[in-house]
Amino acid sequence: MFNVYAMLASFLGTGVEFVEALTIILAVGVIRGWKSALLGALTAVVVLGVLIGIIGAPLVAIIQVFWVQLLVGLFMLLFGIRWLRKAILRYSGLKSLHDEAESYQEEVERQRQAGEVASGIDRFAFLTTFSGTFLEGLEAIFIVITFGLTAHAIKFTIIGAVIAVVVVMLVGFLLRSPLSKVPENTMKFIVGIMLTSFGAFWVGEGLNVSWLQADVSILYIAATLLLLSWLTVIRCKSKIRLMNTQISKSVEG
Amino acid sequence: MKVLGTLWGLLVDDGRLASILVIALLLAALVSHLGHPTVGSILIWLGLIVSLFVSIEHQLTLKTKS
Repeated sequence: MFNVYAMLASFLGTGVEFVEALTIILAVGVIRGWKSALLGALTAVVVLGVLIGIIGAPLVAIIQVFWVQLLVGLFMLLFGIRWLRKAILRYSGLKSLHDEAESYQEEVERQRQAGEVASGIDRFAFLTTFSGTFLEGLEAIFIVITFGLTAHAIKFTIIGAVIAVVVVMLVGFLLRSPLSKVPENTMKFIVGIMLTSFGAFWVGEGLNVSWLQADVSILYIAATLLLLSWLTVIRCKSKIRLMNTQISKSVEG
Repeated sequence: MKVLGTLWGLLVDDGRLASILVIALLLAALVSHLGHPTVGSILIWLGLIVSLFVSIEHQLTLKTKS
């Protein structure tokens, strides 16, 4: 029997997870390059595919999702807040806006010296999209399996998830071009806020805290960070302006 | 330990920010374990704000003193 309810529930549930993964892939792709970002996401899909192919439905019971949330969340949180801090410093005038290429090269050099770089692959981009896609994909698989088994409609929950993948991929393809027109520092600022919010949420889930309004908390964490950044930039700019005025007055005097 | 140190260096620019954040996460884990999961989420939220504020404030102080 055709089970529209199971299919729709799976479409909506997994759709939310896929949109979250897509947001990370798009953001990282625009800033750090599509090759590494897409490779990271694709690797996660392959790993998940292999896991589900070998283990099947018992995967839900075997993988402890909170450990994945904790590790991925911590990585995203530290990485995201690092970008956000840099973006605030640049907007505030505490760090130059024009040293993007230089600082990126410095970072690559640091990784190279640490023996961590393979040629052509941006490991940060790869790891970020890999971990984000892996976690979201895992959650989507859990939705499909648990809901499908409970409703005795696994075929329809899988169809719902497949439709969600196709729709989200289409949206991603359409958004790719307009997003690449956003100025680099603005994009880094947005990605910093996004990764920090996602990271904080996942670490919290891993630590068993209770977020008010569950997944919606990602939005209010992001809104708080946006407000804090805006106020900080205004305050820093005004202090620097005041300092410069005092310096020029003392020079004239 | 060396691997952890390298990873820490690559992910973290400012030790001040990271330390405050890690303390907030540890406190959140503790209070959540003690039966106050909502307080735990508020601690993480505050940790983000305080760590960023302290880190930027430090950079501003350095700039104004230089």
